Amino acid sequence: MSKPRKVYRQGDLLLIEEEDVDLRYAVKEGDVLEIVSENGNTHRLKSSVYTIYGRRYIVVEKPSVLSHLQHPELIIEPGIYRVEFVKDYALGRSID
Amino acid sequence: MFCHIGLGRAYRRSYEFFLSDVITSSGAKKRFRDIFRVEGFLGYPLRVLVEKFKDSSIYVYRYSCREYYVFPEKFYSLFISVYNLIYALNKYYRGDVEKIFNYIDRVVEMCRDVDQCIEILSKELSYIEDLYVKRVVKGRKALTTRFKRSTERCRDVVEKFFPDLLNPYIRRYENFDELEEFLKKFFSDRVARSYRRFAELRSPILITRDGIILLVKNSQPLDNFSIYIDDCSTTRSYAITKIVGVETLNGYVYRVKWIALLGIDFYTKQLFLHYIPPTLILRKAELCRLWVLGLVDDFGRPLYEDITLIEV
Repeated sequence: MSKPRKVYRQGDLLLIEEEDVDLRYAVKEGDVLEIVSENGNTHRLKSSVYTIYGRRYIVVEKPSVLSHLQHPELIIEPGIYRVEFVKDYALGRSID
Repeated sequence: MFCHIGLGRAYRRSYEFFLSDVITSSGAKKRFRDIFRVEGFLGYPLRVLVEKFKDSSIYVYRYSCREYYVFPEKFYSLFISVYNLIYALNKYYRGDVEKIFNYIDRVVEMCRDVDQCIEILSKELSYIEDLYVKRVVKGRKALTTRFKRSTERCRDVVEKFFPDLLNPYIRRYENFDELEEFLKKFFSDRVARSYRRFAELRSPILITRDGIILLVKNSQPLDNFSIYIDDCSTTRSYAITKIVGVETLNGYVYRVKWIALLGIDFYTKQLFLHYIPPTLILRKAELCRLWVLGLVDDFGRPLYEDITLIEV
């Protein structure tokens, strides 16, 4: 039996573990994931950030801390994660 | 006048009937009026009727993949009666064609001549419409009872975390441009535009910032509008309520305008409101939350086989 897929949530930010993602042709955006939330504070995680087909992925090499001023820290296990945001039916797509 | 009826094919060609002053195929081509069409998959009862009264047909022709039978004008009322019954049964049986066809077969078997058949079909139509109305009223009563009970059940949670919801601040607007300008004070342009579009269809709507605001068009009365709490849940990090904005008629839910998840994040002390799809109307607040997180689809089915949700 395969191990469960990890999904991390910190406020409006979601990191969904992906196994079969080919990032060879993805564009590397940087080495830190920084996402400014609605209240102006930033979700921050040290990881390689890639974009492919309009989707953002991060590669976490070693256990890293996802931090935000107003939320408790989350330790993210090594792996590839898709970056997502919470959804809203009225707004038509993810709130990013 | 003559009544032409063109028999189509299930899922391929619709059925149609109309009046025409000619009996030839010119009727189907251009000299038709007051035309009725029945989708191909629902048209079988018309074929049954034509078979039954085939001997009364004056002329038969083929045109545009349909077989047309021409009848005297009085058959037009007969076909309208069966047309009305088909669509009433379609609503009542929720598109179950087998039940619709069996029902109409039974009715048509009782027909002896056109006038008596129209009478039978009309009686059956009012009988089915009555049943349908009774079912709808029963459903509305049941939904209203459910909402009232759950609102009472969740009253403590609302009073503790969302007291504004019990008497929200009402912001009225003259037109949607004004609403969009107002929304831009709180949200990004994209979000403001989306809320505007949502309000155009489902006004009055709620938004949250530091408090809860009900946005209502100036001309729109609020007498028949209610917000019910359908479910609630509290954990260490958040409290959520599933709320439903409804229009009422005679004290019962008449139309559900929107469904939303209103919550508070205990870490940020921030209120949040996310609208959710109408398909989740009868589902629990926690499942709706999973939809907001993108972990279940619009029907509440899990999108991933096995997950471990770690959240703060």
